[in-house]
Amino acid sequence: MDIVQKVAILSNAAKYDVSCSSSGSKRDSYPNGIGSGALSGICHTWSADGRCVSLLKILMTNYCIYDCKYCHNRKSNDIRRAFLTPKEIADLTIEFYKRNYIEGLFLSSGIIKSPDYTMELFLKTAEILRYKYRYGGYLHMKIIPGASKILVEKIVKLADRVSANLELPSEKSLSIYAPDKSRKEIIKSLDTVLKYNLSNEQNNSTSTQLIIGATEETDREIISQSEVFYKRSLLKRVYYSAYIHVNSDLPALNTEPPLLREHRLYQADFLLRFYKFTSDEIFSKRNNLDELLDPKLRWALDNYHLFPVDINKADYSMLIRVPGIGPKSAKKIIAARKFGYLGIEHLKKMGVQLKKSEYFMILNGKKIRNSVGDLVEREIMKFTKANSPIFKILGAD
Amino acid sequence: MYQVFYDGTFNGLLTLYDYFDKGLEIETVVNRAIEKNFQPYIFQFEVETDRDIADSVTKKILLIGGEEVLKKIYLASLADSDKNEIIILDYIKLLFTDIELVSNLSIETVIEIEKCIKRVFFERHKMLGFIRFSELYDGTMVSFISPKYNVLSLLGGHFKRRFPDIRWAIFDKKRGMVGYYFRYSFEVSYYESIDELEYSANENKVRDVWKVFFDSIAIKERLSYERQVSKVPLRVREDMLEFGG
Ligand code: SF4
Repeated sequence: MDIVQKVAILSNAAKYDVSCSSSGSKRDSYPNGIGSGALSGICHTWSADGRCVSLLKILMTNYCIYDCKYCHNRKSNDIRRAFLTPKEIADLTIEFYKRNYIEGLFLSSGIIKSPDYTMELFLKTAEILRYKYRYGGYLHMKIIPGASKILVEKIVKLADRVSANLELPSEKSLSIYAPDKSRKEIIKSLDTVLKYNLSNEQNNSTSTQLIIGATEETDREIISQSEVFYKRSLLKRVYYSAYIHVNSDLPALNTEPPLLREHRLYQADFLLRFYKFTSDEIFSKRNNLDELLDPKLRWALDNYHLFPVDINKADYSMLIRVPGIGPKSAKKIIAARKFGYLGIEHLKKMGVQLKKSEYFMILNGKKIRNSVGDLVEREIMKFTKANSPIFKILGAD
Repeated sequence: MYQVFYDGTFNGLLTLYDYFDKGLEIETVVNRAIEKNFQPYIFQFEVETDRDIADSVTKKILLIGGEEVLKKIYLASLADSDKNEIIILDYIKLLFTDIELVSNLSIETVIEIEKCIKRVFFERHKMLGFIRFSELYDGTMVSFISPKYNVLSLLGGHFKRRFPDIRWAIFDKKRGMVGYYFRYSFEVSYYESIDELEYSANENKVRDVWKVFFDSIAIKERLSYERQVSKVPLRVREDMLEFGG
């Protein structure tokens, strides 16, 4: 099979993996080598579904000895299969990289023969790139659960990021839909990475992907699971991926990919990571996120007794809980307070978004807005406009 | 009031400043490097770029404002398609009046300059991703771009770090400029025309693989051409082969 055909099959098979982010890395270039990480993520193009393309995202092979129910590449599916050798992958990476098509390689794979056999081929690929081609660009590799510790460590040493997919949000779902996989093995791999990082002062980041909407877990279960992984530093990012119905025998809970739910989960995840919300807070009054309102606004409404807050007195952790105020604005406010009492004009000058926040704050001892009624109405209207097919057709604004 | 022409170079702009300073009344400024169609006006004035004059203005800027301010003026001047010459002339005048003025963010000119710089960096960042190199028979990598702003001189550092041991060149088709990198130095100059290029044996193959890759990665359940257009504006697509460029 020629390389064009192989790439067609294997990039097509890899596309459902979501972590597009090339997240930026600080790797220095090799002397006489090629490539360097860039700190701010660079998108090289956008695919027809509107996603940033910055990596050569591809499977080494779509042959697989496993039979996960949600997967297109499972062994019971009758599909065209292909395999790329480590040298072919390395060459492709270099050729694309030096043409500035990509920021690096994201390699994943089906499992051939055994997890270890597959990982050894990955390692070979990484070694060709780093040692033979002195490639200093971004390298992200999937860890196959069940691979031996020493192989995982060798790969971690050469890669910028590794990931091990949890696939489904609970042990139970995994045992039903991916009977060959064990959650313990997946977590063990993540643990190996963490320990390796700690003892080698390396900061190789880890991520995972969860398929959303194929099984019955609530948003609360999903987010509190992410929280645990973040707390234990086992993961740096969790990617939520709306389930796409690829095999007809898996009972999908929704027929359309639940894109909106995916979006809300990312927002809630953001609150965990950057706003230091706890999952108990986010879900204090509910088990699933609100579809209509973003999680932060929803939380503020659920906990309206905590508001309004006095902009001139509130501490940082409360300021960032005000809808419309983020870490950046909160820091600016705190810095500016040192020079005197803040009024609405100051906030405007600092670029604080008042559209939402004014409903939740006190300035000069007075509430600015008495009721949140029109804010909620406006937000729901915004939502309807963005999501209703009629509005889309009319192009109404 | 005059319609003033200059060659689009930084030195040209500084030469123009000298006339402006001496009282030349300006109606509009035409940048010859990028403006081919303009409404002719009765009173026209051609600025001949003069190295000595430009140098003396540069020195004065350095003396009063220091390197930071000179850098700002240079960066802002790169936003050439925004017709921002007059703003820059005003800015230099402010500087020469009182250095305090150029850091006063309540002055319109000062705000405009900051905005220009932001836009220039935004364009640069986009170009870092959108640039496509092709391999010539001798291993040189070449790229053709038509950026909205004159960002060529700001691209060198990034690609120097990335491809320290490759010989490469980036052509700005819109301005007839070329940035050439060889043996650890990156230089920008002008070009008249380019001979027919001879590509490496591998080039077409790699392009084919890239196109196949690009076409096959989109998830069909999620197609969104609107989003794609908003991210990759049509104006840059002619230089990107995955869009048929
Ligand atoms: S291990 Fe499961 S999810 Fe991965 S390729 Fe094989 S069948 Fe698909």
